[in-house]
Amino acid sequence: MLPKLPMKNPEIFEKTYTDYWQKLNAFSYTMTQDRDLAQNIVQDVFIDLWERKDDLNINAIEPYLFRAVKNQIFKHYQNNRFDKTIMEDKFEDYIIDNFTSIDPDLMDLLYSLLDKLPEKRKEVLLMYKFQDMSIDQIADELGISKQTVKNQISSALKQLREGLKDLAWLAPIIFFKQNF
Amino acid sequence: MIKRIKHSLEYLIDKSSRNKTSEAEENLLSNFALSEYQNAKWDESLMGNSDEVSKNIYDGIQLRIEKKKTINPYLKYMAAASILFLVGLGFFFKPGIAAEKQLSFKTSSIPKSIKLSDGSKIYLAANSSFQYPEKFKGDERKVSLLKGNAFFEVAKDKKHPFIITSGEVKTRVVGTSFHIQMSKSKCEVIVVTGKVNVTSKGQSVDLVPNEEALFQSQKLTKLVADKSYLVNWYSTDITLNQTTLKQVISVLQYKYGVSFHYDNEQVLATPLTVFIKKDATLENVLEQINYITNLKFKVYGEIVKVD
Repeated sequence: MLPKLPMKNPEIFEKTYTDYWQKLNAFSYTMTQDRDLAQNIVQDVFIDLWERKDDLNINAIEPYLFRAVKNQIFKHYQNNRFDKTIMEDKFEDYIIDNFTSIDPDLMDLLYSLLDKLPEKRKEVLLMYKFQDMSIDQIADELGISKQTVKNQISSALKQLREGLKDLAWLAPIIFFKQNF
Repeated sequence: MIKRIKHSLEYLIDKSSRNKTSEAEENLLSNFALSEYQNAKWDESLMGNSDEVSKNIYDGIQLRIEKKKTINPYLKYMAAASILFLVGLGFFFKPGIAAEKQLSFKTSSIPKSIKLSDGSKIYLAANSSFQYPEKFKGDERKVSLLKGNAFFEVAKDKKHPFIITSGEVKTRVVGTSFHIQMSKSKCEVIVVTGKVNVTSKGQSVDLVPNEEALFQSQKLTKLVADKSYLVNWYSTDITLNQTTLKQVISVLQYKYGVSFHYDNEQVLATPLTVFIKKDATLENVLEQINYITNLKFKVYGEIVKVD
């Protein structure tokens, strides 16, 4: 049996706070860029923790706090409490940076997005993102200048980003899933 | 045709809040958040001094759980006590606590506004703290001003009166706008539009625009409001033309929830004209005043001293 945390114990509560508040606050600030809101989120999450009726497993504490802060951030995002484009830009970056590790179910949709790119742009982006080729290698392979490769990558990413702003790319999955 | 395109993130979060996301979609959202969490670093210049922030948040938590702390000593010493006793306690405390989930809103150096679930808007001055339920339930809309000053624009709803508790004072309205200014020794309610009823310790006054209720030394009295309080500090830039330092200070006390200390009363008569931007910090404004008047205002936490 793993030790449990009785949350109404002030010493344990205080230690939990000391251990995690800063990381959680840095997280809520990164997502909202609003100092007061970010602090309010952390505060509310710890008050909820104090009021929890059941004890938490020691290993479960950080995932619990992370999830609680994440849910609060998402809730404030839905209620327009901060500039939504901050998180949206980050989400676009995340998708583009993690292109290859995203769940295959969603990959289909990303590919359909890729298919909308002009042939040359798509080719360059795939080489760069999926085959991990360097700009020099791509330029050699295709017999074009390095500058052209750079331009193609940046315009492909830009177009991809635009596509991500539109929920249309997710639409087929709703249709698909509802049939199950 | 202009159509607002919903961002894919917004779409996913909305869907997730309705528990309609597929496993893949939910994972995408969590992994995105997790990567931001793991990469998040404390940046003093953006997030503030970590000791101060830590204390600030912790004080806020203490303030909110303080009321319920009565339970705490029992639990601490009677952890091994009978289950029956705990069940009994739970039964006793539950109705008060669990009825509505309370959220808190605190400001530090800059005034902020929030919108409640009924559409009412609260403009909270700097250094203030406010508590409200996530969703209003029941016959009354109940909120609390725990500290500082606020301007209320209450959404009209005759069937559900809006009640604000600020210390010992209760303010009751159906739809109107007014200020509440609270300090250790007194509490003032100043009405801008509509009708307001204020009660405290069995005393009651009705207010109309430009009137104020003052609660001080256990007494509730009705006064004509000082017009400097009627300045819209909460939503607009303020220009105070050819006024006195006294007037400027009363606006600053309101907007930033600070108090001013001065050795020489005569400085209050100093004439000046200032422009206060809606989202200016107190330091910005004081710098401007210091420059104009050749006085020296300095901020010590929530106290401003004048040399």
